[in-house]
Amino acid sequence: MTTVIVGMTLATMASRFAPFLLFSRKSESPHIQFLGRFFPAGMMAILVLYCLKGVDWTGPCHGWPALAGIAAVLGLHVKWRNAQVSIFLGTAVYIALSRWGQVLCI
Amino acid sequence: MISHALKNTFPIVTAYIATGMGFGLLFATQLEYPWYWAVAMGVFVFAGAAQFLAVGLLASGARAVEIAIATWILNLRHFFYGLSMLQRFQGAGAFKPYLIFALTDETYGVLTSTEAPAGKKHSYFFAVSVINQCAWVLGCGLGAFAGSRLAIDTTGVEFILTALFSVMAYEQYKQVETVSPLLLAGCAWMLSVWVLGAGQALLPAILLMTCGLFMMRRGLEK
Repeated sequence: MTTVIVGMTLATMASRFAPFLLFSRKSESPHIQFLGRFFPAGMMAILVLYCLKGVDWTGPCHGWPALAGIAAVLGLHVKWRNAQVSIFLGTAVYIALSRWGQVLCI
Repeated sequence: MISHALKNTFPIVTAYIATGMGFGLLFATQLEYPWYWAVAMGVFVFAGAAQFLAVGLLASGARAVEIAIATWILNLRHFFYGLSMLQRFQGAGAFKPYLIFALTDETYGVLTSTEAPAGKKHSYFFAVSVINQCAWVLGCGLGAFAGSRLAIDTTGVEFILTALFSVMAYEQYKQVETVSPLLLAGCAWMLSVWVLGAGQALLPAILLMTCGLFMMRRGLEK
């Protein structure tokens, strides 16, 4: 088990430390600055889509509890811009719909 | 500063405890190792998806090398996180090694999408990272040690992460003042899923999105 943990730790650290070891002197480069500015935006969108990969789009609910949850999160966030409120209320909407909303699914 | 970090990490803390417990429970039920190995994984590896994957691989008798390679591939995306954090971590001094070590998807989201208190950027970054890891380790330990006895139904709690990334995506949109990177991400993801299937799509989608960003660079930097 020690070998497994050491191996996994090294493997994870290889990806996390590599850019700092390889490009630390290039942090002022315009390419790196460009990436620093625009990459997080695209990455967050990809992570949202990645989180939805377990959704059963062809099932009886066609994934609408998840879509309604995201709509609730964004709606609340546009209105109040309070991340904690948006995240917890949106999740509550999702949990309520996915546990008790099946009656509405055709 | 600490209270600011606690407030901004609260959703992650909740999600990490719940997901960490899920991992701990799986670890304890699938494998015959004592509970503290699950804690050790949370402390040293600190990579959610890789830890789940490792349980499956260990249960099917995979060797340490195979698990390390799978972990490496799964976490390659963190390379890009690092690239886009080079500037933000500059001058972090003694905090820097830990900040790099603890850069998970969720921590990356908070560090890029929330405002750090003026003049205390790196201690704020450090607090966020430490709080998140503590929650994750606590979850791993609780799940492995007492998961089967607690029997809390956490179905649906994982949606906190979907909600978190949605909020972060919106905050990013506000920062860059254009939806182009988000639309690009959507196209890259769909193309990647269409060609490779959802299971393999993450890294190729990130690569495609990055190429797309550079292709659109002129328009974006206007």
